[in-house]
Amino acid sequence: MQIFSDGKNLKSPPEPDEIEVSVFGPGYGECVAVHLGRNNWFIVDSCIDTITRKPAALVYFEKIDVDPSVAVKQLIVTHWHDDHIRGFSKLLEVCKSAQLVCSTALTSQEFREVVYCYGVRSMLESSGIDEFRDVFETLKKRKETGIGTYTPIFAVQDRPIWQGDSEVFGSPANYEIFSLSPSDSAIMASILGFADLLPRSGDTKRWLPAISPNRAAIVIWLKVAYFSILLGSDLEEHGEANGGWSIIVNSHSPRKGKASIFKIPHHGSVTAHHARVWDDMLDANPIAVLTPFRRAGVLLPTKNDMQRITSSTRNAFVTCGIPTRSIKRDRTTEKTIKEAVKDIRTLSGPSGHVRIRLQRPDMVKVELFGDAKQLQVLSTY
Amino acid sequence: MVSELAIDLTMDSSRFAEQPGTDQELLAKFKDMQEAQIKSYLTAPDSETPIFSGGQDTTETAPFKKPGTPPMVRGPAVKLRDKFISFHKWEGIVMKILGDSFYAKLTSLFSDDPDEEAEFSLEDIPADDRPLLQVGSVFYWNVGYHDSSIGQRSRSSIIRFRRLPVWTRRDIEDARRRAAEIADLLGWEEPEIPSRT
Repeated sequence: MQIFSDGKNLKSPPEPDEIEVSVFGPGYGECVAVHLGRNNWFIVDSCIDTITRKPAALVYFEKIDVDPSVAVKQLIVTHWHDDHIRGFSKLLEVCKSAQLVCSTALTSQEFREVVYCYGVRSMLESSGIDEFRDVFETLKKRKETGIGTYTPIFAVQDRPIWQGDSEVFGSPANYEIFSLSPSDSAIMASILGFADLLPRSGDTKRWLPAISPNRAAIVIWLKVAYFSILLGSDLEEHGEANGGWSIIVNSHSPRKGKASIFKIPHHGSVTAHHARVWDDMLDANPIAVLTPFRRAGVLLPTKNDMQRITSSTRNAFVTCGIPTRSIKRDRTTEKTIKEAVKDIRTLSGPSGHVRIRLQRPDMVKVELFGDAKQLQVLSTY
Repeated sequence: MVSELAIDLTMDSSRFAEQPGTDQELLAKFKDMQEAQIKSYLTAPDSETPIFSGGQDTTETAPFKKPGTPPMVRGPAVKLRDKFISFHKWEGIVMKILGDSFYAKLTSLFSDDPDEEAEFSLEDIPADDRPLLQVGSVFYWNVGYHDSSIGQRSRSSIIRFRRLPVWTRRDIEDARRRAAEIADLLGWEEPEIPSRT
């Protein structure tokens, strides 16, 4: 495996028979773009590029001269949390030929009511719900104009959501994409969770908090020829046999083999760790990538998370450092702020991009752009 | 200036003609005194209300108790009010509440600085605002100088929670209707569900 951290060659597109997995992470947010040969692209979740304020995937496609309106086959929204959905409606608008893939819970009456109750941009904070309102409006436009599909593909446990022909590693190949979650019980729990979020007459209006823990995120398995990729989304594990990662590792899934590339779930948190994922579903020393997270006093990955992950693989990467920067202000203001609060930090830092390309399974190139780095480096901070 | 004042005072002195000569004698005696200052001492008998109220800064008065008694001389009094000079202001959203503190996301209202997150002590929340503290509630945070009415300056931090409106039955019905409409439009069939309001 070759690692390039000089930030060069960003603008070169993948070869037609080259597999690419690009993970974007600006410190708060996550997006994965996957190329499975012959200009077939799949996008999982969305985040905003901190410089252009556009969806990170679209900014990247512009740089590598890929037309997203024809190249992107599916847009997969793994769950509705703000850090995975920002800019998704714009992707849906631009990627005209792409199908939307989501959990059936996100089309339920309960969720739609939540969207139309809280999905107003009247507050400065986005909870992800307002983005969904725009997603619904874009689907409506698709129906009205007849451009693109407006019926989502529902991702559930062990369902093939795409099959196609391609060319990888110099030979024609089939490729398949499976959703490994959510389970039926997780979908039901999500719908009940949405019902709990609905306001009652007389309640004070407020910003909508996210539902946690996240048991209903979509985990994706991509298989092309004999090569597999596991994208862990934010799925958490709480030891319940009928949900989380337990149901995935115990399932008689149609997927075969082990994955060589792993998008680590839930920003490396121990709440998303299941030892059997590493033992049963992944190659030894897979290329593992995570995006950091900082919100509400939660900082992921923690030192322990970093140690656990780096002891499981030598090839772990992170899209950017943990944002710890403070804004520079004049001394009097700074002094007053420090006396008034226990702690204050910026929420976003420099963003980064980890790009993995394979021309052959034994010719792996990992390129680090922006603030992306090896996880071992971050763990020494 | 004193002569002009004398004319004015002659007119005003008709209000207490029972005490002849008082005003003219005093004016002569304190002819070097500032006009506004003299005016501030002139009050009607048995009253603390100043006769002359043309100036903004003449709220402090010294009534004549005995004809011919000179007033105690004081400088013009300027009534100070509490004032807040802001260095910076944010809109905050409560993200998480702990035992004695809460985390909030802060968006600057003064600059394009990136969003920040801060941990505040619960004890810094005014008692009136405590019931408003919930995850998702919105507040304003202001830091700056507080100039007090007694002329002292201190650095200060003020948190005030926004009084947000309540959900009405109509808001909720509206959302339910729109949720059903989008499902109909996109061909997503949904079973009827009972009202939760």
